[in-house]
Amino acid sequence: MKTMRTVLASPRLTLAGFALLALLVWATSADARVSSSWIALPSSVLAANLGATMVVHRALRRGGLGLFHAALLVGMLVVALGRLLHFEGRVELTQGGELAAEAIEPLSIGPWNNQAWRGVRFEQGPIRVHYAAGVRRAQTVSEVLVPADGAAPAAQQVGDTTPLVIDGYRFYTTHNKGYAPLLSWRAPGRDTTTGAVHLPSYPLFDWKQEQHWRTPDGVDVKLWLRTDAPLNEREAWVFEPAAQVATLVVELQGQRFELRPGDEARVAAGRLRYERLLGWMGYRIHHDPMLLPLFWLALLGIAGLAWHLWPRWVTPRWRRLEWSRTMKGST
Amino acid sequence: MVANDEGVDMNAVSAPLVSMPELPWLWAGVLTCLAAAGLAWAGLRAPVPAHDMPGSRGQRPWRLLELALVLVAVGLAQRWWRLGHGPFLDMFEILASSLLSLGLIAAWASRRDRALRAAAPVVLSLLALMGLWLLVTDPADTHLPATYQTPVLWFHVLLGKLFLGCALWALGLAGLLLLRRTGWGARCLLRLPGDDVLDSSAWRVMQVALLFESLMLVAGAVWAQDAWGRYWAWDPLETWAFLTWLLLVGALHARRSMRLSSATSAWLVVAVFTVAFLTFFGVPFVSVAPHKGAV
Repeated sequence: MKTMRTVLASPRLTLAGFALLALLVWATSADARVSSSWIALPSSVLAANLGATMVVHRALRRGGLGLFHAALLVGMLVVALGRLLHFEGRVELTQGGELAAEAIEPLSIGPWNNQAWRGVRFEQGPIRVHYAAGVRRAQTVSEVLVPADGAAPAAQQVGDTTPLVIDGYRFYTTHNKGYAPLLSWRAPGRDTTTGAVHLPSYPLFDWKQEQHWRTPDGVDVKLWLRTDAPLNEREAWVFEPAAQVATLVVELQGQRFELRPGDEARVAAGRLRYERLLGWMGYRIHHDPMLLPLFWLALLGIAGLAWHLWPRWVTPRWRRLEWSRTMKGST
Repeated sequence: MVANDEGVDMNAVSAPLVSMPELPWLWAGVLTCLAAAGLAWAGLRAPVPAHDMPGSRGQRPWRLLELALVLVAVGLAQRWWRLGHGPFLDMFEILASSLLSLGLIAAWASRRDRALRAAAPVVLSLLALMGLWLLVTDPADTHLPATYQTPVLWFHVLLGKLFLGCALWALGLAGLLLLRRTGWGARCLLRLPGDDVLDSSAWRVMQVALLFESLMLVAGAVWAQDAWGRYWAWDPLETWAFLTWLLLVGALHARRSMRLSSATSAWLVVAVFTVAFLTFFGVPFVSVAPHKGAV
């Protein structure tokens, strides 16, 4: 038992733990297929190492130093647990559309994740992104409607440093957003299909506002968007798709159409109606139930460190005596 | 220009120098700082009056530094007023604000710590070096991203400045200890406390630096979580800040558990400060913005 404790408390294990941590951090950043859940492994090794060291060295368990090391130990375990429970993902949501689990693209999921992200619902409202001169992004305002039990959906404004939080899942607006023309396709003998086509991110791809779409019955449609107010790099402006008027250029079965909102393009295969211009917002999704415990543990650890250091620092009288003694000795 | 939507290039808008009224003040502050450093070195060569306490003759460089800080503060205030945001963004702003904050901490500490007062050549030389760097840095206007408009940023930046200020204080004391090991230094710095006192003083300040750095990392994580949806992503600045914390913690443990000589201990202070300095001012060489691509 003693040997086990000694091995676990070894400084070599500390170095090995940090080396493993560095290796896995590098691997997770270099290769998206390597899940960040693996960080739980070196965190656990380092936690075991610190725990054993605290058992071996009594000084590490006393007073402020004890509080600091205990908070550090629990903190490492909490980080590991957070990696096992976490969820990272992204989603693009059209104005007026509701979040559906199928639309979410998971980027990283911890093996113990509660999968509650599949049940999260909210509706995307109007989008406004303010820009300073020089196409420099300023404030982002994304309005969302969150369903409430037995009541009307509650409107919320999210953006920049204010995420939307539902069931512990945090939705952050990103620079990724753009236009989404709302189209209706009616083929002879079929029901009308209505949906929005997401154009490339704007204004990042201002020069490439084009998209390809295939109707449910297999007709290829090419789309280009030409806004009435082109991007002005010299002045401040607001990206607000619902307020923007644009011409949708459509290539359908070899014919070219220029559609204004409400116009239709008619070909033998059916009719394509450009209803109006909407926008889409890209969200980053983050879930880690250990966030708050980790924050308080970090503060507790620092408080322990301050408690430990305080008597060593606030000793002005002692310091004066020390100085005088030294001066006498040197003259 | 559209790529600015990513917020990567903070220096995209160049304003003509005549429209930057802050520059003469900043340059005057830098020149005064250089003069203070020169005076500190010249003071070392002067004979020490028998009745003088160590460092009291060296008050003039510190007073000159205080004048330099007033000039830099006026320049920074003008820039702040003109741009409508604090100096948080590019290398020019970070250098200028650090010159002010580190100078203020050093000037305050010099009034409390007589040994640090004697360390003027070390501390003021470093500040002068930062000033020279500022002179050759592009002062282009910057744009404050929306993710920077949060009170947490103030705490994060303030704690970072306090950490580096304490590390500079410790560096001054460790620098004295090391300078005294040279033949010339031994003659000039004879009337200072013993190596053990300088060493323990330096590490007491480093312990406070550890507190501030730990708090800075926590505040930074809170900001990153709100701004970018992750509290830690191992970006270059985060990684180097963590390495600095590890090195400082490792040095504190090494000093406690091993019998290090005063010189080795002083070199450890130099090492910690060097890594911290590179983290603050070296990483922006690799990434234009403090957190590249994350704004």
